[in-house]
Amino acid sequence: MAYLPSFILSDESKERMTKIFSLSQTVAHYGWLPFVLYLGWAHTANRPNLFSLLSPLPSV
Amino acid sequence: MIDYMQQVLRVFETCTGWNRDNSYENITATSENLLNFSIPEGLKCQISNSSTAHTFSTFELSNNTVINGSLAYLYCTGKGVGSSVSSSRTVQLQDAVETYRQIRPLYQNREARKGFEPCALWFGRMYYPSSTLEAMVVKRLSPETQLVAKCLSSLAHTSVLTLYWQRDSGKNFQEWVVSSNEALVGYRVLHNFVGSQSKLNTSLYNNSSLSLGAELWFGLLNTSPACSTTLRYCTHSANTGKPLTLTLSWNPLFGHVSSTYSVKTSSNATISTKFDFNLYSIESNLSFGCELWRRGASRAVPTENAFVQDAVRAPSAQKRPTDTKDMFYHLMAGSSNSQKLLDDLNVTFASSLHKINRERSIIQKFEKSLIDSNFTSVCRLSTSLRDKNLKVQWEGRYKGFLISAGTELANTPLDLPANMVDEPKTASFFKPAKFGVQLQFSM
Repeated sequence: MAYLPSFILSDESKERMTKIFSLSQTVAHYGWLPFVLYLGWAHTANRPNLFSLLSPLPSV
Repeated sequence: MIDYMQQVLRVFETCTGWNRDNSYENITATSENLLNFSIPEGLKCQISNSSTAHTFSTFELSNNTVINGSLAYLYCTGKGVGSSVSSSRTVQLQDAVETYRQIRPLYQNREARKGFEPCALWFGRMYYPSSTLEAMVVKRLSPETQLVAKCLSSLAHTSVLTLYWQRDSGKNFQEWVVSSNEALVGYRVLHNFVGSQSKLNTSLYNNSSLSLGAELWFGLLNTSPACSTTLRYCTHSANTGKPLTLTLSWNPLFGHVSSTYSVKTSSNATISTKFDFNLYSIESNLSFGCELWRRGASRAVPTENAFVQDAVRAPSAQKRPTDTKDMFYHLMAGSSNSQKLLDDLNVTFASSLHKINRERSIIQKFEKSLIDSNFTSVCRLSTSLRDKNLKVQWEGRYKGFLISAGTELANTPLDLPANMVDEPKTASFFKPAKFGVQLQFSM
């Protein structure tokens, strides 16, 4: 946002947009693994329980 | 050792008819695998599991300087991926390690794309304690195209997003790459010259491939260009049917020329050599690498030598087929002249037909002996004259675990800055610069 002249965006707007960007990056950063897990859970016919989906250890 | 998630990705590519060898990125994969193989650092343990037919997970723990780990999950759609991914107990060793890449001619890969349906792969890996996220999405759009998005996200450092658009029509491979790192834009192309089977059906011709590729890169923010071009020729030895690969790379900007020659000298030995030369600095380097495979005794498979001997012996032992005359029956006019012509034709063509059959059977039997072999371990060596280093690696299976152990020996301390390398060297014997063991277990 720093390269935009001030008459296009006010300083408050720039700050607000920077905050929104960093917040959305944090959400995507921590939400990506649960999203991948949700896709696997939702597209499996016999919905497996969450523990067996989460656990990387081989289930017997 | 190929990472479990990388194995799943390769199975996904195979199941969706994508040929990873037909890309400029992997044009020198064979020599890279044999000369620049990666040696693990420290102790690394990896446990993987396939919780459902479409979801896979991996947990990794390593003690490289500090204890760190990662947790990875993968979900993919597509038929047969779950059943095709093997566990560490059952996977063939030649599929679990990076080794000689057998390049299939173009026409042999067309069958795999029939019955295509769009599918996708989602992958995420979180590293601890740094909380760095590695994410990837592969989307197969059509039988010929795929879109790949890779992201390295870090809250403390700069994140990098890279997009790849790839189109593989078999004869041509094109790829556009856009990266947020320095606003990098790239274009890679690969062209296969031999597109279809020969009408003469000569076996050697049909099992050879000649590819020419090039790449162009441009960093928009730092306005720096880069480019290179590579020629690859893969064929088989006419007498023994053993595959060999030659590549010649040239970087015009840096004046760097690199040529490699890799050959499978037998079903359990591979040799690769590489010669680098710089046109501007007149500096050169010669590298040599080899790998030796060890067979297990559990599966009773005839040895490769027996196969080759059989293949050589078979045509001579067989009598000339009597029905070859039938091929030219329409030329028969009843006269003695035409009968003579027919006999001449039979003599001329029958010998070449025998030769073709013999070559084909030798190549096929050699490939079959590789697939049937129950390899249990592989030992690798690589050395380079200019770098004066020696890399040794052992990879194998022990009680269901895939183990990779290796070391790199160098006679110059690697941590010294470049201006201090000229210090008087008293000791010239090799010191271990790197050492590591990796354990991998998957169900």
